[in-house]
Amino acid sequence: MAEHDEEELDRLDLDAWTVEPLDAGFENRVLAGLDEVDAANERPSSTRRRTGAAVCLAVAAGLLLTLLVTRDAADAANVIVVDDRARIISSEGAEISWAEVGGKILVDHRIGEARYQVAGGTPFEVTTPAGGITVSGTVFTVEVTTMHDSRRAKPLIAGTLLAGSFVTAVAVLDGDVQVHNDYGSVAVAAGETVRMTDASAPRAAEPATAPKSRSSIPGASQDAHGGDRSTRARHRDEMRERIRQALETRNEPSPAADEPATEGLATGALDQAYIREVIAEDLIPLARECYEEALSRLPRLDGRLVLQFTIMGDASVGGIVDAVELGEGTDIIDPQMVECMSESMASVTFHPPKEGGAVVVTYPFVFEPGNDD
Amino acid sequence: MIAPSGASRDPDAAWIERAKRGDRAAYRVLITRHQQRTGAVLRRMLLPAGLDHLTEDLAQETFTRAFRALREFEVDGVARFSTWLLRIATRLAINELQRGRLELVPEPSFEAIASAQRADTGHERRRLAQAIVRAVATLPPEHRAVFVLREYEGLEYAEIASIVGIELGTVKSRLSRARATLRTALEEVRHG
Repeated sequence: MAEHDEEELDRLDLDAWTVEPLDAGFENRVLAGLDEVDAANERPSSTRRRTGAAVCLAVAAGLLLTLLVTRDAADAANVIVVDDRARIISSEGAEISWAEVGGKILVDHRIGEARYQVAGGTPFEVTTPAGGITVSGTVFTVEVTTMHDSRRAKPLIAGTLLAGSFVTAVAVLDGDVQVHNDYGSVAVAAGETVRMTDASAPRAAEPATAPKSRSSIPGASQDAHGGDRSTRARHRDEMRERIRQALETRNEPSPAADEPATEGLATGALDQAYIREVIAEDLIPLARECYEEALSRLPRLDGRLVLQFTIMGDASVGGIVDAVELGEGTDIIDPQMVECMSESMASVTFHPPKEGGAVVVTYPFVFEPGNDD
Repeated sequence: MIAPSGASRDPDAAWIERAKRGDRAAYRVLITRHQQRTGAVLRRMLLPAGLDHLTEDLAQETFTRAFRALREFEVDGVARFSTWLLRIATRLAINELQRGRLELVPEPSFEAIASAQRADTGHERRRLAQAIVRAVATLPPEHRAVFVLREYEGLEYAEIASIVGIELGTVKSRLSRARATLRTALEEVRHG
């Protein structure tokens, strides 16, 4: 530095704070992103087409068509017409490609939401990261998200408490489909919805409905993030019961059926850095929504909110957040904000504590409006 | 890789000219040259607010925006490419921080700062790092930017003023206040 300051801090002290470099391959990701932007900008606006390695099927006879709808697509929804036998209406950001092989239409649905309309008698198969859907003439909706984002998805799959990395939800509006993966298979009729992940079998969910609009916080049956509160509570109860049974089976002390886990169970069995990482990645985005909503009503709201919660679980079932309470030192008393934060905390998924059991965590959050002086 | 001839005051000038012509190798060189500093600035801005998971996204956004606007960038203009890039990155971080700030304040029982921290040798180094992060977390976004750009990137006042978009005198006053905050935090560790 050319300029010298009398007030300079001790360099040795400042160097105690080191930060990690960007992940390896960063430049490749930037260049790949630029390629997508260039490809999208060079194509005619009425049709977005891109051939690539997304679906590679050797086709002896028939047509191979790959349509990649990226986040940069201009249209909010895209209609893919598969000759006169099927239509796929995909939402912005969905990544779907299809090919016709031997008269059968094969669709690779990697992420996002789409509605499928398939003419009667048409052999039609949709593959997702969590499993497949086989149809022969029907109307149904498929939504694929990562487990990481499932709590922020539309009500179709919000509140999923299953193991795995990807969640596929199938809602049938007309006709019937067969939903299957390595863990099981289930027939789904009109008015029914199933969910499956890449680590669990398909299982029935709430009845199929049109996507609900997000309602304002409390007073409504939906929570602040568009999920159905009663459904989430029901799933949590189911998980709690399954964990309790799993722990009993292993002769571990377990919570009584109607009581939350206590500190008497194995504590300190979850790495603090792991807890902090999960909160930073999974809770903070939700917390920001809670805060932004609160600021819309109370522009000067600030202060400290301490959450005390229990992480309970078993390796054979998974982990849940149980018994979220306000901790000592909380000075934010807006009930809607508190409720939003509590529900957000309850929706976060953690690995179960080592050896099973429960861990009690106290975590403070400080909220400040974004004013600069 | 040997740099092409025609270098001017900006050490990136020749690579920028090639990148403007669509040379992918030139893009890669520019990314490689500036990604660590860009990532470090973003991480130090975001981590104290619990937003470290956004570092890579914002770093990627920084380069994408820069390359999309490269045609308008004047190699012989007032700002160097490195300054321009940091301006984009810093503004992205400040905007993110100003979207209703949410700070993570580690409890004493949480000794680990965040997953992004490297393991330091010695308990005191760890405590110093914790104290720095806590103190930086209390700085408003533009103060934080001034502090990080000066103390960790060694930029001069004029360059910081250009990056953050404030007056030179404001840089000095904000830096002074940031240092006072940090000094108090570090002394507490030393004598606490």
